[in-house]
Amino acid sequence: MTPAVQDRPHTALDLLLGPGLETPEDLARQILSASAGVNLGRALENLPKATREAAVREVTTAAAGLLNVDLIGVLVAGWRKHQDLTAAARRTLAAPGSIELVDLAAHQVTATQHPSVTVLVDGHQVATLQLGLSVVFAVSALLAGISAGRLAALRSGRCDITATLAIQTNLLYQDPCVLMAPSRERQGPLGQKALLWSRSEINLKSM
Amino acid sequence: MPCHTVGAPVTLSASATSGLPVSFTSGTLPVCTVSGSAVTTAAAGTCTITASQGGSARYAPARGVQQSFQVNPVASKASGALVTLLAAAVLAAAGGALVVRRLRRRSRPPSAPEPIVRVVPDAGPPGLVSVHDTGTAVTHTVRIEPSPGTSITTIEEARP
Repeated sequence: MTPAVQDRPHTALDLLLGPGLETPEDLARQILSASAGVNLGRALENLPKATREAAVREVTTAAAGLLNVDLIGVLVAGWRKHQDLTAAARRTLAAPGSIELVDLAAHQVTATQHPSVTVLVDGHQVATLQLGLSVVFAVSALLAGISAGRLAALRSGRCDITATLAIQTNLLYQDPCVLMAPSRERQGPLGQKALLWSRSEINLKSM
Repeated sequence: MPCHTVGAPVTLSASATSGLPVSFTSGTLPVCTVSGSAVTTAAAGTCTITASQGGSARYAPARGVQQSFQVNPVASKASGALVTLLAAAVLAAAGGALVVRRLRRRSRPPSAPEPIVRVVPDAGPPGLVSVHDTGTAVTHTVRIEPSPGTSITTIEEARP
């Protein structure tokens, strides 16, 4: 049975979550149980309990927000660099009303982001949580329909996504140690319906 | 070093044999902060103060001298006696010596009430939280600054 479109991950956070980790709070708990979280705890350990809890809550909320990366947007950003797609986009722009079907060979789109969350207590920077997010799309046997410079349809094919999250905490006012948290990696398919459900037509011209 | 109580003001005093001014910095934010010679103890833990003398045309800078003391929660008992400390002097290469002489504090009265903490998450813009401890009359602000950082997208096409 084909899963419903809503079951497909739309953001990197959706992909990183899943069984056993169903909410951003679950992810936050895992972040904090890792070495980076322990390190963050050290940075905050001398604060009153309520202040510490507020800081941790705000950090994890901010971190979850930074992981809310639109997967479709990332994939399309990669496709704007795909030679066959961009060439077809140019040709269909030059010939109004024309449609081209592009048989995409296996290719891989990789996006790496390094967002960070800085914690300031009473105006003093006490720690920085650095995230390393990597999303890899492995696309194969995809048929794309291009019209007027836009991706208008997708047929068959397969797209598997792997998301990896690494976390480290830099302490600024204690021992200058940097610890890497275990990466979190999950794989899952990105449904073509999800692609078209999100955006009926995708502009392939560089933005 | 004697213990101090959260919220109790502590005054630092130090001099250099060169006669140059001595400055203080806290190495344990947010347990304690320093403004001039006044230390504010804001949270329980170990407070480490570094006294420094930056040198001049005549004297080389003195190596910093560190002194630490424990900051206890408000509920802990502490006497209100004046504390006098002598710290080890560290001689710099060109003779700038530094001596931390006294550390004075006034403790909270033993009958001080237990702190009541009030969290005000809506006190400011998103990512800014104020936590007010009515026991110490200290308000901590926690500010979170998220940054999207760098982002790189690449494509690897299989070519025949």
